[in-house]
Amino acid sequence: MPDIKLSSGGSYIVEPVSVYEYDAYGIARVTRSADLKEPYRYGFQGMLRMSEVALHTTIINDYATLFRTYDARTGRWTSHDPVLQPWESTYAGLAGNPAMLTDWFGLTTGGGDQRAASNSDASKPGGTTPPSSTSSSSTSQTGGGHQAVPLVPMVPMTPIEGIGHSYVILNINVVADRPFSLTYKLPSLPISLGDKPERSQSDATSVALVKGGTDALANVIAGTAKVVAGGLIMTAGAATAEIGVGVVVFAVGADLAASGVNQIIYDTPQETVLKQVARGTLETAGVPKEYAEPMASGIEMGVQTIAGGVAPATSRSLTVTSIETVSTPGVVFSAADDVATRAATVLDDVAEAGVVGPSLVDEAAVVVGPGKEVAKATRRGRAPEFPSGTISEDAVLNTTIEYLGEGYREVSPGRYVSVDGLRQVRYGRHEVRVPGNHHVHFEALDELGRVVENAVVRIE
Amino acid sequence: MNTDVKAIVHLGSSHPSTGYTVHVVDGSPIGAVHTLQIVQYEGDEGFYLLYLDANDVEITDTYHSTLEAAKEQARLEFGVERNAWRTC
Repeated sequence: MPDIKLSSGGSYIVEPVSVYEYDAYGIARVTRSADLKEPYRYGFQGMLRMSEVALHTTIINDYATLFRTYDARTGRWTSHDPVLQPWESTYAGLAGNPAMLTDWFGLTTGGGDQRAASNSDASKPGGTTPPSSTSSSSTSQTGGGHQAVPLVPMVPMTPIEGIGHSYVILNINVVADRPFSLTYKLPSLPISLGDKPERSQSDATSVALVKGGTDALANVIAGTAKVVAGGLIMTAGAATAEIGVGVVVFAVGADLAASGVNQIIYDTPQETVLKQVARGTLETAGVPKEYAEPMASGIEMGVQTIAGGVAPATSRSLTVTSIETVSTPGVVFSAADDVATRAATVLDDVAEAGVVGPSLVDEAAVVVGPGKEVAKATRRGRAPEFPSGTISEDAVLNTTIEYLGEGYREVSPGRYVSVDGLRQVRYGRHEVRVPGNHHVHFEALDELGRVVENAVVRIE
Repeated sequence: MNTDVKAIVHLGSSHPSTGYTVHVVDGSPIGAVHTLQIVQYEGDEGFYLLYLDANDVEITDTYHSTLEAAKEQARLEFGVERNAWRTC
């Protein structure tokens, strides 16, 4: 309809400009749609027709919004939402409910209050002003402000056939004022891989986290390395994931890359190959396709490094490392029944790491405020934590006993190992050789006695 | 306490950290490691893998019962192959 009134003998007439009839998801019914005069620029739900931006002259079923384009034929966005939602594909359009919901910006699905929640310019289709990041409680916001919201319980996905566990995505967005590490001990869950033989940890680690990435991924392709469902498939940056029940994909920033911790392969043919392989690998591992794509894309968003690797099925820990101002979403697959706990644990851990004021951002993101000290970098239950990184000499013995548990033994002078062989404390001649620098090592070992955590605590 | 340096390797861009091991000193993760050194102290049968910074100052260390175990630790953490070590 035109937006002007045409007067005709004291009354008004209506002169249609365009007439369109759509199906539920916005496909124009060709025989019942027409531009009677000049083509009208807006279409289904007020979204901008792609013909306006793509120089098409015929009726097409693609629409442009501020952030993404919408394909009415599939009812999905043609690009994904970088903010993952555990309950739906990041390509999902209108939450599968086009009759009740709108999404004029390709940003977040809303109902009738969407207009009110936006400012007057942004509320108009094709407006140039994105809605306020705090105007909606939705978590699907792109680059929005960090508004703390309660943690929303995760929705379990359908169990993956052949794997035996339900998985959900926990999107953790960690922003920190400085590098820090948290180590999570995840429960060891049995993973069935059908007739695929399981490999030992030494097999897995021999190809994990390779320098260039290609070797490990090539091994995966060749079948010489196993991709365990929910295990490490690839990791970004210094983040290490070796999870029996989950995957972590985390990005870190340029600082670690500059220091040589990360290898930058960004914008190289190698990167392209890795991304492609990553997607395939994720899907091979049983990660549903709609999640495999966002995960790979998530790596793209914050990529500084892509390293491929394979995790042992029996490993139980993951390490998340973040550096300042990096807010690239990470993805953690975890057992569905444990995700809420896991998210809460992340918060607790960050808080106990000496960081003040962690809060959830958007869905399940953890934000660490600027200028806060990170003192206790290792999670309890592994290496012990000390707020100041020091311990009194009197406390060494009791802390050692507490850390190692009953039955520990001294395997060599000054070296004490727990019964299961997975924890070690070193406080011998080497640790006291420098006056004024007496210290003790609290270490976690893998099943082969290799060091996976090493916390040096000064003795004051 | 006499120190016997067994092997040394300088880490370059071809040896990025794999993140296999988390090292924390005084409550904070350690910075970049530039050199690895395997040493043995007089009267101690074990081997220490020393992590040195750009000024060759020891950041931290790990203990291993054999020289090969120390090299394996370095391989896991930095991808240092056996033939990359310079024997002293």
